[in-house]
Amino acid sequence: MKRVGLAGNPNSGKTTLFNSLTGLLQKTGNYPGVTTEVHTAETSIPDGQHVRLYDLPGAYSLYPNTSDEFELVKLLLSNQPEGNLDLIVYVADITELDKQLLLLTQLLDLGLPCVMLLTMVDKLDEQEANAIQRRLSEYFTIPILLHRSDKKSLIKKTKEWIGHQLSVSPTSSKPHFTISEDGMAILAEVNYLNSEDNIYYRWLQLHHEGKNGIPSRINEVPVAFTQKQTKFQIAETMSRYESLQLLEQNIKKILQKPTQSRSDSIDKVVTHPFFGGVIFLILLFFIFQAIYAWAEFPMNFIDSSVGLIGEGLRRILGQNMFADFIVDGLLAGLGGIIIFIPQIAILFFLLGIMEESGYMARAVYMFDHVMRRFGLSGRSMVSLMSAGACAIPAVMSARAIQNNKERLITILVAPFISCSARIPVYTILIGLAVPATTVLGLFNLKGLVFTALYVASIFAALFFGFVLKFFFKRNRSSELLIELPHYKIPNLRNVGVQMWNKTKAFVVEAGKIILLISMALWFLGSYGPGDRMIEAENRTRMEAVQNEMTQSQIDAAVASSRLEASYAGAIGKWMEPIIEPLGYDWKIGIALLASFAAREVFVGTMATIYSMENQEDELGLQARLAGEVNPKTGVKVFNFATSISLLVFFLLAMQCMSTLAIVKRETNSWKWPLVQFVGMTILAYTSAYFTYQWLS
Amino acid sequence: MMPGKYYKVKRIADNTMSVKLVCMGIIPGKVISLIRRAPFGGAFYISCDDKRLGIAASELQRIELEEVTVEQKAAI
Repeated sequence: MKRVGLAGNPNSGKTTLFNSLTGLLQKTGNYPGVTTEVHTAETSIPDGQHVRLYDLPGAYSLYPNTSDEFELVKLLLSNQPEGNLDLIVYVADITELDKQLLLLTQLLDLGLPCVMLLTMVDKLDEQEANAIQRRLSEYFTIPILLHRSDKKSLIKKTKEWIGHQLSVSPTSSKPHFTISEDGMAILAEVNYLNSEDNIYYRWLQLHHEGKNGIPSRINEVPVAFTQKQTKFQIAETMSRYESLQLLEQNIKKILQKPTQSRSDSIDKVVTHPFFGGVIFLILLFFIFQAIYAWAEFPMNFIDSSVGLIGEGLRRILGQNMFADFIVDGLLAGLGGIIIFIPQIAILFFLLGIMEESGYMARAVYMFDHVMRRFGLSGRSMVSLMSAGACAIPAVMSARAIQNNKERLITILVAPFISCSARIPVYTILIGLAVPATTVLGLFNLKGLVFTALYVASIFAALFFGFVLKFFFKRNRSSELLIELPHYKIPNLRNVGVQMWNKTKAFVVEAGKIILLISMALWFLGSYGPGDRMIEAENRTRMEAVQNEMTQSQIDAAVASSRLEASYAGAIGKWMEPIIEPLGYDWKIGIALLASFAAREVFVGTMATIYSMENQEDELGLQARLAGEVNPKTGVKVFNFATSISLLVFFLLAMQCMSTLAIVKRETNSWKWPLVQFVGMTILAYTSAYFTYQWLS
Repeated sequence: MMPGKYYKVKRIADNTMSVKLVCMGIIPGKVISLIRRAPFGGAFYISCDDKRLGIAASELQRIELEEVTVEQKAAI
């Protein structure tokens, strides 16, 4: 199958074109070390041929300074299939051809088979567009297509054109840049390990040799080169820029350039040092509300549907081990995955609109400087705010952060922000530990503690961002230089496609891991060593008969004693000496273990252990916990010190397998989720330890 | 450097960022206009030809600039 890549500057309309050529048939390439997603899709062109299309990462030049742009160089210089293309369609926005042509000259000098496709053509009149096309084809001597709009019939025509370009042999074009004499002298000294004979390819290889995962093809890079490398790059870029000057001026003459006035007047408000900040905060609050409140309805719907399906399955399958496996293991695990879909979809819908409209670039401009002090980027603000609802979409949204270091720090600290799953746990524990007194005649102490926990979580995230900043080496010059594109009406197809791709990636890739872990946790809670569980159940039933308990009391007591006799119970008891210094007993140990699946499971597990008949009855559970006495010491288990210590533990611990799974997916290694899990657990343990020791 | 003023680019420093500056059209001889600044001593909002850019203050300082008046700008 022939391979066709779409290349171009960021904001060139490349992705819009890719989406209308391929629709939802895309796959996301996730290659080792490639952080930018390379979307690919198979598509058939009208003559019956199948081609594989690649949406190559956008870049301004082949000497990039953001990790995002570097991916293009990496693909071109490595042996990935994306680098070895039969045709490159260079996409450029006809209304802003200025500075978009530089990368094309580099691709042509690499000897790659390029053709050009101009987008946004419908914004110009026929005559202008044709005149520009003529100028460009005179200059570049490559085929150029005016892609008027994304209407179906025109998309078909564009496909036909691509098919035709694949069948004709590419025209060779004149070199757009000549390497200087001293550059050539250096090149002559270098021994290449491969037989590539394109001189510019060799030159580029010399520049990027062994950096950022580009394969090494040179024995030794001459010192004379390393010293002058930046000078060479600047000189080359200047020379390319200057040779394009005349062409660009001629194009400008044709184009009655619409002034930027509309974008400029929007920016007067939106990037205003004060009002701009207010607008951004309002937007962040809106996003937070959306994933926090709007997602609740579909999430409850998913939750109750899964419950109903479970009941239905039980009725069909009966009460046996197989039914337990299907309902409590498999279905519950699946439910735990799809429950996150509303939040992910809503967040990426809103982010897509912000990105597409051109607003996101402004947000980065406004806040990059502030966030950088904490090792984060302007875009991290959005991720951290989303983390207030759920860390999973937050971690996924960090993809938009172009700098690798800032992206990684954002992913690492996002789970510190108190997410909505912590709320039920906070509620119960605050209810136990904090009296409902009024402070300063105005504030409820419980409410104040609740707020303090949220504020503390933000501090924790920023503090560790600040600390982590010193652990990662600075990659090249990462100072901000960002294009602020014209505002435009978001293309809803692009927004929808991104939303779909993100949700699919979560369900398929993180879902596998979540399902596995939740099955393992189900197994630990449902099975025990030897016959202990059956013995425990029988014993409880006998006691129940003697005590004349009601059926629901018996069920609750049985569930509790089974859990105690299970592997999870055994682990909880085994953990007791470890968690005793924090003020916890084995029952809390079991609940902590279970809450690794998801924090809110803590409440349900506590209800089971304390044989509550109604699992939803939080007030009842709270009363039950408040009366719980340690049989060994005779002291109340949930005293002030223990409750606060647990709060601190939940504030800081990484108890969410779904987040770990998505971090694994996003960083493409087990290293970072492990660092996160171990680091945050140690932090939570020591903090809870000192809290308990201090308070008790 | 003050928002609201125009500056002519005299020289750009030798670092990898400069390649991007050139790609964006910021080359010696061009006039850039400093439009505004982000809060808390943040980045500058500049315009050069038809491009609008956000650029960190530290990065802008690495470009050798010379203030020009509106009349001089029009002449260039």
